[in-house]
Amino acid sequence: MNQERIQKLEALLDRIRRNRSARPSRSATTAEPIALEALPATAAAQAAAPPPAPAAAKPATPAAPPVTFATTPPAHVDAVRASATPPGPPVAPPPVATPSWRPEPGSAVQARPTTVPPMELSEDDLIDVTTLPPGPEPDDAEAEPVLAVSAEEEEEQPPASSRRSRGPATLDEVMANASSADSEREIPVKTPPPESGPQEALPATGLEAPRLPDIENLEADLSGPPSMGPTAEQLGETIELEAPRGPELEIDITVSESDADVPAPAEELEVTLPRASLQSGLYDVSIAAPPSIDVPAPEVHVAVTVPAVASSPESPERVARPALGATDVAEVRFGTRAAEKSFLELLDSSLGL
Amino acid sequence: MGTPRFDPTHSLEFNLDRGSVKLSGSLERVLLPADALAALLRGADAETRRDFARRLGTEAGRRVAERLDAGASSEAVVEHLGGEVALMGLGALGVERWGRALVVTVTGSPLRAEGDELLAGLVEGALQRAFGRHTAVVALGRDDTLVRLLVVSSNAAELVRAWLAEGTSFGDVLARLNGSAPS
Repeated sequence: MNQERIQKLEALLDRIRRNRSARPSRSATTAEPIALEALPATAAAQAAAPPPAPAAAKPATPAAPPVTFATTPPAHVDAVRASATPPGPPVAPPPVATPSWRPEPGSAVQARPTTVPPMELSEDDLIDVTTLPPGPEPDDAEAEPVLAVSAEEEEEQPPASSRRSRGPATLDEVMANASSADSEREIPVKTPPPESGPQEALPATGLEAPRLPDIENLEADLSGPPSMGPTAEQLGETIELEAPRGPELEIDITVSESDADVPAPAEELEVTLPRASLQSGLYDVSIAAPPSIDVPAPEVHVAVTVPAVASSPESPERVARPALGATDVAEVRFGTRAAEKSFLELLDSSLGL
Repeated sequence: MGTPRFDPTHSLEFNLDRGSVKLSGSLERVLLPADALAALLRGADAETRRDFARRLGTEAGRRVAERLDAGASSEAVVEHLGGEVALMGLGALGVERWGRALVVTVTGSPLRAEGDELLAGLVEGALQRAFGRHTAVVALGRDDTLVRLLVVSSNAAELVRAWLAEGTSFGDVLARLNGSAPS
């Protein structure tokens, strides 16, 4: 298998060389060189290294020439160069310089000489590759084997990096993909534009769908027997309280009838309101005057010296401020007004200055 | 005996048939524009202005003396003398007492600063006629609307005028006057 790959790659390399030699006018002016020299150092070193032993000696090593070539620009890069470049005038290859094709042994794979200008690809060229028509044209017959071989190589051995997603090649594929995607995709809920007018709202599906109540179960619950109390879930864990400790307290609710018969003493400040028929400003002479309020005589506080008693732990010693009798704390003094003088006195006083 | 209130009812009598104006039954009056009177005062000499002002004050003091006695209070004097000045259209009168100094204020005089001398002479004539005291009234100072007139003796008036000429403020003048006077 590896031997076959080696042979194919060698054949590919040879064809590339022949194709390049067949188009000498493109070398320096129109095309950017592909930077084979810019390959990773490992690849360049491997390419420049002396030819390895026969392929049979290392059949599975990844550093074999085919793998090394896989790190070079992929096969479609050459195809791009072949397809993007308009076919120049047919130039007959020099009979002496171009030998006839012959399968070369694997050991003949060498690095491209540094005199070959490297080629650089642009993004447009890559797009052209994906949009190539499937059928080859007669003019590109020379590059067709390269394409076929490179595509086949790419399918058989994918590169280490992930492959670029390839879009549909034809309009039919696009339509087919669209129809299949529509069948699988849900209709997104979108807010209709304001100019669209009233629109029937689409029922939400998927994760956005609200949870609809199970009406049948609800009806069954309603039709069931009325609840006789909280359920076990509502009660939760019931904790039994311990019985009260200590003596029982009894409240005497009996009412002594003798107390109820005794009339309440009249309030001292209770007075009889004057009759409503009296005019404002008059008073009812028939109403007895309120009893005179006995104003207690102001108490005289005498400072008494109390012998100090050592405080015991059972009864703390408290010191309180002695009570003050009713007194006028604030005193307002008015300024003495000047003695009223007549205008004549003021005039004489001013004239005496 | 209470002081009668100033009653200006029918104080000013306009006889349109005769074309005359009388004030409280006195002699005929003439209603003049204030600026015309001020221009006349500007053109008159100092003695003429002084005599003219004292005549106005003497007439007002006579009417005040008819209603007030010698023991009238300052409020009563201000009420009646101020009423007479108001009927003449010369402003609102008041009295201030700065220590022992008596200061008469007039607010809103239509003659403004040009009428301060007229007002001073008017107060002099009124006090002489109403209370029999010979006084000298000096204009201490004024602002936009109010003028202060110091009522002192003639000797003190000369001293005050000298202080005012030096640029002393009226407050300092009053302070000096009260401080220099024997208590």
